[in-house]
Parts: sequence; C-alpha cells; structure tokens
Amino acid sequence: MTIQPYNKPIPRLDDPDMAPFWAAAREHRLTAQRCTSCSALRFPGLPICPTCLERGFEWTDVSPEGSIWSYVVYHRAFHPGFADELPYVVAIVENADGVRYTGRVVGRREDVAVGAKVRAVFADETPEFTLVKWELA
Amino acid sequence: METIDTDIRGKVAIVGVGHTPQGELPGQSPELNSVLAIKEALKDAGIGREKLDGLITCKSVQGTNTDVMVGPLLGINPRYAQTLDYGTCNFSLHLAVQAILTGMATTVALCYGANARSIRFPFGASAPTLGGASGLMHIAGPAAMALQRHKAMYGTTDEQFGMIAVSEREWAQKNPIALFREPMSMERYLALPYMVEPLRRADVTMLSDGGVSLIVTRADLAADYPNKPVYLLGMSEQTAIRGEYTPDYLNREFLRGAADQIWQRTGLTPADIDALYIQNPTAVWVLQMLEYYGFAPPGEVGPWLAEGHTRPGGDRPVNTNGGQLSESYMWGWLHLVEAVRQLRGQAGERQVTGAEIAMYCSTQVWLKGGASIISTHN
Repeated sequence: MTIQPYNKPIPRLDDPDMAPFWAAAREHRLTAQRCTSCSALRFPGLPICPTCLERGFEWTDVSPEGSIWSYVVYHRAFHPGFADELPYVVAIVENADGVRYTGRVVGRREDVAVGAKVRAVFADETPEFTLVKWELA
Repeated sequence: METIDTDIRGKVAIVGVGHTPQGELPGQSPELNSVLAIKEALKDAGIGREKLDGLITCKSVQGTNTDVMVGPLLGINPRYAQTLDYGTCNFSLHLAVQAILTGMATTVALCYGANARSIRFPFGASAPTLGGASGLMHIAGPAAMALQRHKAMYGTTDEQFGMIAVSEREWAQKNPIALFREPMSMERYLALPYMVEPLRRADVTMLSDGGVSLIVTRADLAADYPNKPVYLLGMSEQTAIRGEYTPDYLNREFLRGAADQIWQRTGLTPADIDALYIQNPTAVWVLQMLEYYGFAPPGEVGPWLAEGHTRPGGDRPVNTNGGQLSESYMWGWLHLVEAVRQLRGQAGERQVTGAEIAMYCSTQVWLKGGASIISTHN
C-alpha cells in the first residue's frame, strides 16, 4: 500500500493569530481565544478583543460538543484535493460555549441536519497539521 | 437609527449608460473594457469626454482597474477621481452623488471592467483558513449555507427557490446581450445536479468579461442631454463589516438597516416600485433581499416566489435583464443599466409597461449593503 501525500489546502500554521489553535489541535484539543479583561470568547483569533478593545488574551480549551448551525454538501471539487471525497459535507458548528467553527462533518450523510448534535474529532493529516472535524453525536 | 435628513431627491441624474459586449473578450484588460464602456456611455449621453470632471472606477476582482490605471487610457485629468474596492454600481453611484452634491465634481463617469473569464480567474481558490482547509470554497459555499438555514427555519423548498433562476432565464430570453438564453423550465431546473447542495449551477452567476459605465450629472443640467434623465430619489447603505464575527452573519439581517433607511428617506414603500433589481452572484442574495426590503413577507419568500410574481407578466418584475444568473456577471452593474433603460422605455421586448420607479439593491457579500431608487420623475 502506498501512502498518498496530503493534497488538500493546509492553513498557514504559523499565522500569529491562529498558531496556538493549530498547536492545540495537534494535541487533540479544541480551543478559542478568551479576553483576559472581559472574558469574551472569540474565534478565529484576533490581536485585540472586539468586545472591549483590550489586547490581553489566552487560548483556552472549549467544549468539543456542538450543534450544526447550517451545512452544505459539495458535489463539485473546487480544489483537486477534494475530488476523491465527493460528495463531502461542510458545516458551521456552534459549540456548547457559543463559539462557531467551520468544519467537515463525518458520518452518515442522511443524518446531517440543521441542529444535529456533533462532537469535535481530530484528523492528523500530516505530522504538522491536524484538522478539526465534526462527528455526528 | 439616527439619520440626518438631507434632501437629495431629484438632485442628481443618470444621463448615460454604456457597456461592452459580454462574454469572453480575450486580450482586453479591465482598464480597456472600462474605457470602451465609458466611450459607449458618453455616446449615449451625447457628450465628449472633455465634459467629464469626475471618474469613479470599481476595482476588478484581481484588484486592478483603479482610477490611476484607467486614466492613461481614458486620456483625461478630471478634477475628481476615486476608486472603490467593491463598487456593485450602487456604492459607486452613491459616491458620485456625494461628489456632485458637495461640488467636488459635476459630471462623473462610473465604470467597472473585468477580464475574469479570459484570464481564468480562480474564484474557487481557498483561503489559508480553517474553512478553506475544510473545503468551504467559492461563493456558492457560504450562500448554500445560508439557503440551507433558510430551508430549515422556514421550510423553503428547492422548487420555490428555483423560481429565481427560472424567472431570470425567462427574462434573459428577451434580452439580446444575455449570455444564457436557452429555455429552462422548472422541471429542467429541478433535474440539474447539485453543485454545492442545496445550490445548483443555475443558481450561481457565470464568469464573464466586459465593461459597464454610467454618466451621472447635476439634475439642473440633465435637460441638455438627449435621453430622458433618470433621477435619483434616494439611497442608503448599511454595513456589517465585522464579517464572520457578526452573529449569524450569513443570514445578512443587517440589510434591514439599508431597507429601513431608504423607505424612511424617500417616503416610498415597496408597492411604489415598478421594476426591482437585485444584485445576485447567487440566487440566495435575491431570496434574502426580497424579504429584508419588504417585497415578500419575512420567512415566506419561498411560497411568494412560487406564485410567480417575479416572472415576465408578473406583478413584481425582478431582474428583467436576466440578472447575473442569465445575463452576465459584471458585479451587478448591468442591473442599473437595465433599470435606466426600463425607465426610459428602451427595454424592447422585456419592457415593463409604465415603469416609472425602479430600485436597485446590492451587497458586498455579508459585509455591506446598499440601495438606490431612481425615477424619470424628480
């Protein structure tokens, strides 16, 4: 068996606003930024809190449980890396802490629905890159 | 909502419209397409370029077509020049009105130019983000996400939603410049495969090259122009520039703000609008704006669409040019050109009888919205 190289887009893992998120994902933890002044959670990462305009923050573990806000099913690959996975499902998930994540949904397609419960799972795509996906709960 | 009541009604007029052929124009840059369109608009307005003292360009999708890139080809140094990152024509028109009413310019050419089709611009390219890595690509992705949510909340069906594309195709068959003119019945629409479910290919605009231009001037000068002047009755804008940090941003509820402002400022209601134009890279934008601007009851746009109001012969004609789904992409600019032609009575086979007031609603995805109401009466 030959191992295929990972041929889908890889995010900028060294993006200063997001590097801690990707590092935590490698450890199979779901995280978001928390403002150290007003405690508001935010995601994706920003260098200042848009709620109180204070700069202090920490990346904190958040609940891996969530529900689907909405979802789509790709029947066309706009990037060749996805061609052999068609059709595939992408959803916006709201976790139990109210943070929204965009991600692939794995599991039976017939069970995917707005409001369906999902749980974060961690796909180690390369030694450096782990993609957060969502599995139907 | 706090607004300062500034009476702009009837003070600015559109006196010229022009565009290049649409489709594939190999070897023609956005700047060249802009200037070719301005040439047509000047001809329509019956003036030479020396009458222009303002130029407002709209960037092409690849970031070119700025004022200083169009200037050398146009061969004039107007008093005023500016570039908008995302014109959709509404925002460009609004800036022209501001320039004219503040005395910065008197007669302004607005233009858009694109060569996205011939250069094979990669619209589907993914951003280096969690979404991109997850395969959420192309404008069809977020739009389909919003539609799926609408379906879940209100029970909107494929057949109801499909009426937008079917209706625009019916209009396009009456429009000689439309790129997609082959008949598409509802049956044929429903038989199309999904592209990004619940969107089909026919629910999404096509790539096209071309240029579009409008000439705008002070209303008191408009009588000197050969065509019936089309006056601006009112305009509004609302942003949601926080983007994805705005809760439920894909529902684009902020558009209600643009709607409230324009109805309040003009004293008009949806019932006063004879022809409605909605910028539509995807049909989802039409679905949402019909509700937010008050043309269909909130949450009930599906059944309303199925009643056929928007089709030729319907009581609420929408995108009589065929829209961006069937006429041409052009970032929505041809909607306003069509609105002007309808009001002048120059829309040929697709003429809406007695059209006196038209409205154009547009957006920059989920970040900005704007509307304009125009009329042959001031």
